[in-house]
Amino acid sequence: MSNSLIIAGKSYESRLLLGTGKYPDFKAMRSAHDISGTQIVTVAIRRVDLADRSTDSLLAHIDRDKIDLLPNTAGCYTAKDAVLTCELAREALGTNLVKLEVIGDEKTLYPDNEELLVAARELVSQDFKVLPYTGDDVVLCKKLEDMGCAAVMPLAAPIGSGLGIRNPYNLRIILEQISIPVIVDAGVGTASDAAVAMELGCDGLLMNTAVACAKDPVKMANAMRKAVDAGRLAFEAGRIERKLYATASSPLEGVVRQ
Amino acid sequence: MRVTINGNKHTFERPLTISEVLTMLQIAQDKGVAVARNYSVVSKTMLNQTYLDDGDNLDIITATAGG
Repeated sequence: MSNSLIIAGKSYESRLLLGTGKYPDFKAMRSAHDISGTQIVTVAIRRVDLADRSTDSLLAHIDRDKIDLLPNTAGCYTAKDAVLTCELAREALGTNLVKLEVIGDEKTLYPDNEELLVAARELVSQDFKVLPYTGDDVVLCKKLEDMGCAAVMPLAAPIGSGLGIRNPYNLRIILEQISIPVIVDAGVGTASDAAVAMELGCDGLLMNTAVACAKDPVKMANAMRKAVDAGRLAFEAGRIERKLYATASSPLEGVVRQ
Repeated sequence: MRVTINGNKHTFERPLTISEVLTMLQIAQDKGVAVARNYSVVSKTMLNQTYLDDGDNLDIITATAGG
């Protein structure tokens, strides 16, 4: 079945992964998730607020019959913290699927590759299904694949920037060299960005801000679903070659001339 | 007994299990919560058997909105 995304042996019809952060409220989040058709959403792992126990639970607003949780390690700057966060996530949520991010710089939120590799190796050895957020560097992605990660998730642009697919050539190289799923994570701003990523042949797309912070998150979630589907279909259909000059679509013979 | 919980100091007058502390803090144990004691995860089945020591550090976490 060509139109499924397969992660760690599990098949997903939707190639669109969404976040749960920054929505105006849980109702909007749930509606966006519903209309997007997403089957995987990310969640952050944080200390319980002991001063305020009235906070509505995020988990009550995620339909876990349809949607798998993908806990992340956002905010972790060391392999040690990221590994502990994944271990806590597994205990709390009963999943070994994790989005591994080890941040190296506060301003760009680019990953710390050295710490990322250390954490990924440890988590794989503990039977986690690791989906690492990485730079768009094929050498790094290859190392992550070789150590047993379930997918690689190269960024297209800085997290939350909405700058779109900044380096399609790097993504193309990664797609050529990597056999596990390649899921673009971060940088998408609008539907055309999603379509571009999917037309390149990416296996999936993970986004949060582009949907959650749109003026109408539910409408944008619908747009993203369509863009991901359209981009994927176009990739499978195979686009025409680019040419500098025109090629007529109508027959050259039999033209009525005076 | 002094225990640091989620970054804040707490004092208890008698030895307590982690379960007892969670109950005192009104935290349900079955709803997406996990606990690390001194930066090691304590499995759910061990929470009511694990007594805290003076000076322990507890992190009690849950899933929250994020990307």
